Formats: sequence, C-alpha cells, structure tokens
Amino acid sequence: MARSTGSGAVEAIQRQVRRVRWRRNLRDLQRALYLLIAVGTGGATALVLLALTASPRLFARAVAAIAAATLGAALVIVRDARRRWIPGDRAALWIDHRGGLTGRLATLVELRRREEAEPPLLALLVEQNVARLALWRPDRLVPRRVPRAALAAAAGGVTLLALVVALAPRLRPPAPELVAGEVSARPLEGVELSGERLAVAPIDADDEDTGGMPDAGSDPGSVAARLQERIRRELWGAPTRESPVPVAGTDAREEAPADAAGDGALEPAPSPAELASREEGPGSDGRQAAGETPSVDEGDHDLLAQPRDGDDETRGRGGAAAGAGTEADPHLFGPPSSGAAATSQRFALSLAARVHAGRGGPGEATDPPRAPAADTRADLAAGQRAEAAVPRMPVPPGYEALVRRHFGREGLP
Amino acid sequence: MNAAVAADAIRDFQETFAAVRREIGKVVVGHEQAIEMILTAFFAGGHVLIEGVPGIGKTLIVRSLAEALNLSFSRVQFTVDLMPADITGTRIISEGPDGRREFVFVPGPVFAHVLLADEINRATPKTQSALLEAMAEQQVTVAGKTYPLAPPFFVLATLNPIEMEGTYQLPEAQLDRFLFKVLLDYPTEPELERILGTTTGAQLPTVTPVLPRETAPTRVEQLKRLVRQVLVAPHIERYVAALVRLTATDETASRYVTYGSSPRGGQALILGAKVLALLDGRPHVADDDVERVAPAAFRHRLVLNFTAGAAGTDAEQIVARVLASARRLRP
Repeated sequence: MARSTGSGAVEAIQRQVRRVRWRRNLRDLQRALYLLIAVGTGGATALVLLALTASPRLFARAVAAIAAATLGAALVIVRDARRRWIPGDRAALWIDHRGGLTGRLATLVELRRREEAEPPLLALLVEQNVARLALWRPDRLVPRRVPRAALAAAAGGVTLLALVVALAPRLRPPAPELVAGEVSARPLEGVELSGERLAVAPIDADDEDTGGMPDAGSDPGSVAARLQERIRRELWGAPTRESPVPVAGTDAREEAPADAAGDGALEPAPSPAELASREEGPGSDGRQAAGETPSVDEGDHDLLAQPRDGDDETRGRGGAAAGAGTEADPHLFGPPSSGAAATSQRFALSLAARVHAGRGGPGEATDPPRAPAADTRADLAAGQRAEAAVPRMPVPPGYEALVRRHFGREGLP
Repeated sequence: MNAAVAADAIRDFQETFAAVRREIGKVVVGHEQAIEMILTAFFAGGHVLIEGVPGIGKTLIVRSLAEALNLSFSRVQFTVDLMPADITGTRIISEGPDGRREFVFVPGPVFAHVLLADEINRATPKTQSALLEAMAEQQVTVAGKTYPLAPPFFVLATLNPIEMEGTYQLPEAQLDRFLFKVLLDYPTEPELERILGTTTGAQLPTVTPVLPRETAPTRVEQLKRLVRQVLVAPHIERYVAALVRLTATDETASRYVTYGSSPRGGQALILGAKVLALLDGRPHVADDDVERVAPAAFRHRLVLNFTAGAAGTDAEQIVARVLASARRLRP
C-alpha cells in the first residue's frame, strides 16, 4: 500500500499502539509474576505450618494436595497470562475494542500492512483515527502500571510466610506425655522386670506398617517425611534427636531440670534413630560401669515418680531404680536393638512399663535422695543398656494386640 | 480522494438514503427495518426477495422506492402460464418503411431499473430461470443475442407464504442470487390504524422523487460505487468467512442444515455491511454491521433438512445460533 496518506499521522498512531501494548503486557506480566509469588508463598506457608503441626501421615497427604493445588494454580496463572498477552498483530484490535473505536484503528493498522493501492476512503479513516487518539491513550486504556491486587496478594503471601517462619519456634508442641503404668504389668515371659523402665522395641523388619513413622525408603511418604523433618530442623534449630536428652550420668541429671523447664518441655518425639543412639550411647561411654544409671528429664521423673500401689519402693530424684545394676537382665527385652533396625526407623514402640522389682526395690524417698548402692556385680552394670524416656508413640495396628498381650494394658484407655 | 471529499461523499450517501426512506415512509406505514434492508440491498447492488402475506404493502414498497429514486419501474405478476419471453422480451416480425420485414426485439418488463416480480413462486421453473441471467449478469439473451440491462437494475421478488398449491419452489441457484430475503410481518395495531387513516382519505400520500430523473441512474451508480469503496479489514473478512462456514459446521447447523450458505452469502454480508457502515458515517466495516445483515443474508441460503421441520426449527433460529457461536470468534 502506498504510504502517502498521512504517513506521519499513521506513524504516530502506530507508536501509540506500541506504547499501549507495552504498557498492557508489562502490567500483565507483573500480574502473573505477583500471582505466582502469592500462590507459591501461600503453598509454602501451608507446607511449613503442616510440617510443624501435622503428623507425618497427614503431612504426606497434605504435601501432595498442596503441590497439586499450587501447580494447578500456577498453570492457570500462566495460561491466563498467555491469554492476556497481546501480540503485535492483535494490539490494534484489542485497543479498538477497549477504546470503543468500532474497528477504526484495527482496520487502519491492518490495511496499512497490505501492499495494495491506497483505498479512496483511507484518508478519511486516518483522519478519524487521529481525531480519536486521545480516546485510547496508554494511561487511559491501562490506567495502572502496577496491578495492585496481585501485588498485595504477593506481599501478603510473603508476609504470611515470614510470619510463620518467625513464629515457628512457638509452634513447637509441648513435651509429649509420658505414660506411667497404673496397672501391674505381667512380667514378660522369661524375663523378670525390675525397676521402672521405658522400653524401646526394635522394629520387626517384616512389618510393613510404619505406625506413623515415615519409612526412610524412596516412596513419596518418605520424601514427605524427610521434607517435614528438614523443615522442622531448619525452623526449630538443632535437630530434636540431637537434643540433650539425659540418658545417663550425672551430667544429664544436672541438666535435666533446665531442660524440663526450657526447650525440653517443647521437645518433640524422638525418632527411632535417636532412640537407638540413646540405647547404644551410654553403654559405650562407660558411664554405666561407674554405677550411674540412666535417667530421664524432670518431666519424666514427675510422671514416673508417682506413687505406685502396693509398692514400698521409692526412688530418688534422678536416681537409678533400685535393683538396677544388680538384678536386671541386661537384655531385658531381648537383645538390644540392632543398629540396622534402629536406623531403619521403621517403627519404634515406647512404653512406660511399670514393672515390679524382684527384690531389692527402692526404699523410701528421701530428700536428698540416697546415693545408690554400689553395684555388687559390676559386670552386669557395665552391660546394662541405656534407657531413656521417650514419648508415647502410636502403636501400629498390627502390633497392638501383641503389645497389649505382653504388657497387659488392655484395661487402660 | 482526500478526507474531506470522502466525508462529503459519505454525507451525501446518508442524506440520499435518508431522503428515500423518508419518502417511502410517507406511503408505507411501518416496516422500517424491512425498508432499510431493501434499500441496503439496493445500494449494495443486490436483489431482494420479500416474503409476506398479501396486502401488507410489498408492491407498494417497491413502487415507492422506484418513484422516490425516479427510476423506471416494471411489475410482472407471475402466473403458472407466464412464459420467459413475457419477462425478457421477444422478437417479432416488423415491416419497415421500405416494406422489408425483419425481426425486431421488443424488450420485456425486465428492461427497467426496478423490477417487481410479484409472487415469483407461481411461475414455472423455466420462467423463473429467465430471471437468472438478468439478476446475475444484468443482461438477457434472446434468440442468441445478448441485451444489456441499463444500470441500476434491481429485482424485488415477492413470495406468498400461503396458498402454496400450484406454486413452484424457487431453485436454490435462484434463491442464492437474491442478496437478502426480507420478511414482512403483519403491521401492529397502531400501524394498522395509521394505514387505514392514510389510505382511505380523500388525499392519498404521494412520493416525491429524491433524485432528478435525468441524473438518477448515474447518481445511484455513484452511490453504489461509494459503497464498494468502503474499507474492509482482514479481520472482518476472516470473521465473515467463519460465519459462512459456521452455517454448515456449527453444532446446530450441522443438525438441521443440509447445505449451508454459499460464498455469495459472504459477499452479501460484506456488501450489506458496507452500506450500514456508510449509514453510520464510517469508511470501514465493523463486525456489528456484519451481524446486523446476517439474518437477511443467510435465511434463504440455508437448506434445512427434515429434522429441522420436525423440530420446528427455522432458518432464523439457526442463524441466531450461528451468530452466537461466531461471537466467540470475534476478534
């Protein structure tokens, strides 16, 4: 098409078209970006909250749901952004519709692209378009450079996430209640229980049920569990399984009250690996050999120190149970958890088993507690497993009958 | 053509169109939309098929149009015994001054600017076809000799939807040559009162010619050329093409339509839209113009099947559905 008719005017019109298009596309890009940020931070906030508060099983499900929702929302946003994007050859049409130009601008721009003879009425069309330039100024068609709603959503999402991260330590759950038996437990077959112990049972490798403890394998649940553990580790500082749970020795006893009053009160459940390490730790450092018995923190003592019916035995604050180191079988519940089983983290059963001392029960509680008598059989004391109080943990359904049968807890709520 | 000249030409078109419509309105009460469509087809260079019951002003509209434009007018009442020669004209033996006898062509009623083919469906297909060449090529061929028709040539045929016995349905090829099909409805009660008042008095309303007789054909042709110059953007052409395709492929259309619109339907859309654009003072076509003329341009070009008849669906409804579907395609 010949360019004689109002070339300057047409150039001005085309420049304005480009400006409007640029402004609109930039705003829509920002909008998409802000919405993506809002969706991403929203999903992350939900994820962090769930990681800190939900059980591993719920978290595993929620992770999938959140991931799907976030991905879906992101896809919708991207698709919407693509739909809103105005390519160069459609800019005039878009402006035409938005500006109420009844096709004047689109017709002019499209006809100028055609290399044909200049139509007789084109001059009038150019003139009409020039007269309407003010109707579709960039600031009129796209009033705001920044999409405020989307920006507010993004800012809100980021703020919310920051708040959750900042307040994460407050979301630490209180120390789990330890279960002290109220009913006399029947002795395990062939094993005479003495003293009060928290039993940690290693996992049966054949059992598929993880009992709420995520498998460390490669299934999605384990991925979610690792993610949850990582989030907790990052937000709650030092990993819980490395927290100074007093497992044995005087040092632990000295630190126990502080732990109970402080962070220890919010300490979550230890993992099976942690339990295993606790089991193996004292035995290797030789503190048992020195007559020190494993102890629990103060909260644990409060629970365990409740008076027991028909028992005249008492135990001192932080002191070893009477008979510990003298009569107890080092392998009270069978052989100690193997390293493989412990690190597999398949299942950990903790029980506050109330047991009866066979003989030599603890005496009356005194204040200050009496120092335990020196072990007469140091070899047994050296082989004693370290025991630590662990929170009550869910028992897998498959183990429930077994647990109840062995520990006689059917009558308990 | 610079902008001022173009603007003047468009203004002249608008004024002429308005004056003709005003003159027709003096004698025809109501039917504003039908009259606008008829005038649109006239200035677009097409022909119009009018469907309406007897006595509602079909002939009056056409006659008034011819009088307002000061163009020659012919009327042919189509009957079953009407022959092609009765329309196109025939050769007769004539004796000259020197006594020699020779064949002389006597033009038929088709040789007029405005031709009213009244109740066209009453003539045999052979006679109906006599109009085909005249309508499409604006010429007639008699005894091997072709006679051009003086422009402007405008055929306005009427169809009577009742008394269908002894009628011959127009072939699709001939229907396709009508730019628009216009439906004339019964007048409303106020319109009827006005009709009774104006046509039974002592002084009948008359039409005053808008154009002088000598220059009328030329002026009309100028206005028709201006219509052709109206700008059509590629996106409008795409939209019209999509509309034409949808008359066959749309979900509703594919269920009820055996054959959709031909490309002539698309031409009718654009030409009609050009006239409406000028009436709106625009040198270009907008998609709204296309939609306004779509029912008139499509309703006689859709060949409905038996299912449509059984379901009580007519072309109007199908065109409405097609337009609704096409709005999603609007740029």
